[in-house]
Amino acid sequence: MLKHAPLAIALLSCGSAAWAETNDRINFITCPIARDMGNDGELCFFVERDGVAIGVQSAGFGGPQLLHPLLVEGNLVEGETSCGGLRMQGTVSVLPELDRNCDTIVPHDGKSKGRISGVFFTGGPEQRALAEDLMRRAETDHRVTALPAVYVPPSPPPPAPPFTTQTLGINFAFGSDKTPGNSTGDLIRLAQYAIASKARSVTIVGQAASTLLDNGEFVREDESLARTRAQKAADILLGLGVPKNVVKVSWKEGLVEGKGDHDWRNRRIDVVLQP
Amino acid sequence: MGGIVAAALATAIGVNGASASSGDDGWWSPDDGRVMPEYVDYPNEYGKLRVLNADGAFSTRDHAFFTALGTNGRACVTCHQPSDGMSLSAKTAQRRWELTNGKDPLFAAIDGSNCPSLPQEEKASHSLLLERGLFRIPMRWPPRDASGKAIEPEFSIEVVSDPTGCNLDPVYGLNSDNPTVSVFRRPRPAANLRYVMQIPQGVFPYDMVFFNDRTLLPRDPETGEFVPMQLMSDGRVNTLKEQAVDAGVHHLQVMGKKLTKKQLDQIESFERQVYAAQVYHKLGGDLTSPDAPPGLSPNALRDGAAGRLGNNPINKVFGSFQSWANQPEKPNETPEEKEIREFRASAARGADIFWKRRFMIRDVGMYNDKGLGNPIKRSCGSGCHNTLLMGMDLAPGYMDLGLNNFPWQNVRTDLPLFKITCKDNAKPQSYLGRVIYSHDPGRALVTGRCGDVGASITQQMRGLAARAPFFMNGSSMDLREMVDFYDRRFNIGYTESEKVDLVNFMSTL
Repeated sequence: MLKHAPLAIALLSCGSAAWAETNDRINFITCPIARDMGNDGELCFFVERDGVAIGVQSAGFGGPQLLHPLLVEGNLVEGETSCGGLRMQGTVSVLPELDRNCDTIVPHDGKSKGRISGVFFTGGPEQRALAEDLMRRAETDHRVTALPAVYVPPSPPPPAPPFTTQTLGINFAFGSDKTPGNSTGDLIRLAQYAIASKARSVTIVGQAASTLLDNGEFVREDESLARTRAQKAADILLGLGVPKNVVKVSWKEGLVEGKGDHDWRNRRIDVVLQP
Repeated sequence: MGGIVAAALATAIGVNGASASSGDDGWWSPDDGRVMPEYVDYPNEYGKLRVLNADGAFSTRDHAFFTALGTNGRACVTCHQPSDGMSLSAKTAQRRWELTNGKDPLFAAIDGSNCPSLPQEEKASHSLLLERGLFRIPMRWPPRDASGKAIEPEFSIEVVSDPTGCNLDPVYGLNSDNPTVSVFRRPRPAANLRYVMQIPQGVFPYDMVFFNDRTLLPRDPETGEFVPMQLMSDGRVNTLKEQAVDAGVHHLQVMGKKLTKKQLDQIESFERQVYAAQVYHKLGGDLTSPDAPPGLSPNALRDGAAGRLGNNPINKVFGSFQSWANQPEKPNETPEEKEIREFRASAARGADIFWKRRFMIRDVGMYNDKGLGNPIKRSCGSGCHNTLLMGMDLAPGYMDLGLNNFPWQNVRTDLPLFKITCKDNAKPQSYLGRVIYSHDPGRALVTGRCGDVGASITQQMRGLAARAPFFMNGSSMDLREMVDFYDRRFNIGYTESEKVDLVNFMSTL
C-alpha cells in the first residue's frame, strides 16, 4: 500500500506539484498503460498500484510495451507528476511473454504535456548552429532542404597518455543481454582506450540477479545471462581490435539474490581496464 | 528493338543521354553489347524514370552486369532492368512472356517459376513472377552461419499450405534430401546503392553497432570496414560482391564457376554509381527544374549526401515540397495549367502528410521492441522512412511490419503458408508469441531466431513509379494499395483525398 496515495490524488487534481521526499520502494509486476499526450506530444506510460498512477520511465532500458507485463523497480521521489502520476526513480523492464490483457491506451487528459522528439532537441551547439543556418537559408533557397541537416562531428582524437585504470559498470534490463542506452558507446570508447594504451588487461565480470517483489515473491533471471552479458561485451571489444589475450571474461555463478532495494543494479557487468 | 533504338539515340547524341519511346519496351537482354548512356529515360504510367550513370556512358560489351555469366542465359540486368528502376515490374515480366512465349531466360526454372519441378512451358507455372513480380528464394533449412555451420533454430517450421508445390516437393522441399524453404520475393532495385551501402553518419555508436541487439555491424571481408545491413531484405549477405556471388549461384546458375575478381569489381563499380528516380511527371513536369522540389530526380541522388538522417524539420526526408504547395493561379489559366497546379499542390500535401501525419505504430516485431516502446507515435517520415533522399530506415530497420505474418498480412492464397512454433526456451516474437503463421519468415530464415520471424529491411522509396508491385512479397499492386495497407495496419484513418495526395507524392520519387 502506498503511504502517500491520498496526498498524491489531492495534488494531482492541481496539476504538477512538488512532493515530499519518500522512500517508498516499489517492486512489482503489472501492465503498463499508455497515455496519449495529444497532437503536440508522444505517448507516455504509467502503471496503477492500488488505484494510484505512477509514471514509469525507461531509465535507459527501453520504453514500456503494451501486450507485455512490466517489472517496475525503484522508489517514489518528489518532483513534478510524470505521465499524470507519481514520479518514480528506478527502472522498468519489459517482460518477454505476451499478455494480451496489457492493452490499454487512455486519451490525452489535457494536462500531461509532451513534445515531439527529434534530433534538434537533443543535438549539441554545433547541431543547432547547422540547423539554424539551414533554416535561415531555406527561406530564400529551398534547395538547401536536400542538404544534410544532421551534424556529423569530427572523429575524436585517440586517447592519449597518461593512461590510467578505467572502470565501467553497465546495468541491464531484466532478462536482457542488450547493452542499454549509451553504454554501447561507452564500451566502444573503452575499446579505443585499450588499443591506444596497449592495455595489459581488460577484465569483464558478468552477473545475473533476482528481484524481490513487494509481495515477497522473487522473479529470477536465467542464470546463463551472467555469461552472455559478459561475453557479448567481450565480443564488442574483440571485434574492435582489442587483443584476445588481453580480454578476460568471467561471470558469477548463480544469481545475486534480490533484497527489494535497487535490485536492478545487480544485473550488470563490470569492466576494468589496466593500462 | 529497344536496345537498337536506345543505342542509336545514344550514338546520335554522343552517348550523353537517351530516351526510350513509348513503343520501345526498353528491355535489356544479356550480351546486347550496346552503350549504356550517361542517362536514359523510360516512360511509365506517371511520366518518366531516369537511370543516371554518374561515371558517364560506357559499353556494356563484356561488362559483368550485362553479360550472361551462368548457365541459364541470364545476366544481372535480366532481373534489374533500367526501365524498372533497376528492379523488375510484374508488367515487364508479362510483356516479356508475351514477346518470347515464355522462352526468355527471365523465366528460368530455378527461380523464375513457382517451382523447378513444374512444367515450365505452362504459364501457370510462372504465375508468381507474372502476377506479382516474385522470384523463388530457396533458403537452406536449418540456416548456416558464416562458416557454413548449421545454426540450431529456435523454432520448428511446418508447411500449412503449399500452392506452388515447392515446399512439399520431394526434390526441392522442406523434407527433401536438401531441406529447403522456398519463399517468394521481389528483386530490390540495383540503383542508388551508394546510399544503401553507406554506414549511418552522425549517429554514434550506430555507425558501428546494430541498433536492434547492440552487436557490432558485420564487416566487409575484403576491406575490413563495417557495412550496413540494408542491402538485402533479410540481410543474408551484406556487401555488393557477396550479393553478386550469391546471385550468381542462385539466379544465374554459374554451377560451380566462380565470378572473377574483375567481374565482381565491375559489378560493384557499376552499382555504386548508378542512380534511378523519376525525372519527369506527366502533371508535375520536369523534376529537375529549379522550382521543383529539390530532392527529386536522380540528379539530387547523384549530388546528395548518403547515410544521413532526414527526419528533421529541414530535410523532411526528401527535401521541401514548398515550391509546389501554393503556386498562384495564373491569369487565363488553361485547364492543363490548372491540372498541373492542382497536382503539384496535392503532391506537396502528400509530402506533408508523409512527414507530419503521426499515428500510433504498434506491435511491429523488431521495431517497437527494440527500445522504442509499444506503441510509439510517429509519422512515415519521422519513423521508419527516415533516410535523407531515400526513405529507408537508417537504423537499419529490420521489422515485422505485418506483410507476411498473420493477422496483418494481405490475404494471399498464392503464397505458401508456414506454421512457426518457437521452442519453450526461446524468446518469443514480441507481439505474435510462440506460434506464428507466416508466408515468409524473413530474417528468421537467416538467424534461426523466433523473434525475427517475418522481419525484413525497410527499402528505398525511389523510382516507385516504375517498379510495381510493392513490398517484398508484392502484396500491393500499386501505390494506392500500399497506402491502403498502411492505413489498415495502423488504423491511421487517412481520408480519400489524403490517400490521393500520398499517391501523388510517391509517384514523383
